[in-house]
Amino acid sequence: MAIVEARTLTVARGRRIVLRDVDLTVRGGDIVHLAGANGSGKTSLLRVLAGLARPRGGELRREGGAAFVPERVQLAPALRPLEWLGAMRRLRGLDAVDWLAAATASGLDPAKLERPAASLSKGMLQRVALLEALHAKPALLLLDEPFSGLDAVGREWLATQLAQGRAALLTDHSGTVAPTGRLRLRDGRCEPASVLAVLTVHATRDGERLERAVREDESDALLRELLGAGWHVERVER
Amino acid sequence: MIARARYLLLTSARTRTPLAPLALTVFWVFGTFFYPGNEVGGTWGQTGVTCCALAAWLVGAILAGEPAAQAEMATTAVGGLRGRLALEGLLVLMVAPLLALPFLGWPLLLHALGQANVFKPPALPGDVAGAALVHICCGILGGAVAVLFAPPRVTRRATATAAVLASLLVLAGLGTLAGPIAAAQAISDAPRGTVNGSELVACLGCLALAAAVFGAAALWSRRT
Repeated sequence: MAIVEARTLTVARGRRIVLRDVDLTVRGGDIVHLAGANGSGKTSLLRVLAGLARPRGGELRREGGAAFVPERVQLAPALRPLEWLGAMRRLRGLDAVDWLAAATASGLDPAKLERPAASLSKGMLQRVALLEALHAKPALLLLDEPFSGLDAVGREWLATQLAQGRAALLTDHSGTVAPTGRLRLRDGRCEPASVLAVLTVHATRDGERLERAVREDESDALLRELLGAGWHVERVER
Repeated sequence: MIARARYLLLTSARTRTPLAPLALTVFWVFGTFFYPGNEVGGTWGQTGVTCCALAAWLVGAILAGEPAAQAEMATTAVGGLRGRLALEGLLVLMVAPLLALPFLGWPLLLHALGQANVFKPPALPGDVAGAALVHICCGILGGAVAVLFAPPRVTRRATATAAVLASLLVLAGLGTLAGPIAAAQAISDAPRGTVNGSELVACLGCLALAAAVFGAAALWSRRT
């Protein structure tokens, strides 16, 4: 069953039309990657799908709830993430969660949930917002550059979570997660693009080990960079 | 409803922005009732008009204190723009009685503590009921104006402040036709100890204007 179905959608940012005739369908378990240059309308499209803005034209049908995590997560400076997580849970009408245990399970330091948001880094706030969105188990996850502020542990955790059959639409320049579908936004249009495999490169240098996920089309550049920096590439896995 | 109210309370309590309007409210209450021998209708008429402006400021301050990203995540959680407007409506319904409370409660408390001439002649239960209506309805109207110019409709704070001030001036300009001045006039002219028809009409006028402002906010949201 389609969780989101858009037909000939027109998306605007302010008064400017940024996307026309957008057709997309997201089903349960789909991970759809929105690709495109800066300013191509990726965030605007996510905002429309999240219900934060109305489309200027076309049809949009969404089944079930959604969770949106913006690229730059900000909370009120004195707000403690633990308070916010509880409030969001209640807003969604869901039962309480042991957030300290949930944070520990996701590799987050639970003590940080009790500090004011102003004292937390961009990556930490992003982890908190992702934790909330993932625990809400919405029909659709809308994630704007979810990997950009995360460390290696955070990226691995999120990739694992996304691989558990959740429907997600995300923008991502890191290539950490392997999408099931790909849409390219260009010149105000949204077109399906071929799905590129994500490769994992294993390399060593002076006893140091490195494991990096990279999109197939960017693997040559990464390999050249690694070899140039004196790394020994052990293997590349698909 | 309770979950939404708790979210709003949490957001309000964790930002500094509401402090200025709350501080002004406290000083306004103390300043108004510092001197004894106040005339019941006139005084509560004046504080009712003040309540409209303070509600606009306080609601605007609370909404401005919620970072855009936090607001977006909450908006998605409550189901989109319609849910957001309902959340903002609830905020207005919470703020209006909150502001009415000190304007009504403080003089009554002073009276109960033995300061018999806060009002001259003393306020009767009917006067208090009329004043409560006027303060709450004026507060709802002021809060609705703040919601109209809150994000995502108006994102620049300076623009929002100017627009709210201009709207309050327009409401004041309506005079005795409708709005806070009409409500103040009605409570001033009302016979002692009663809630009369003109007070009810004036309050209904405020509520009708507030509903129209909320309608405009809903329409505007569709264009953001």
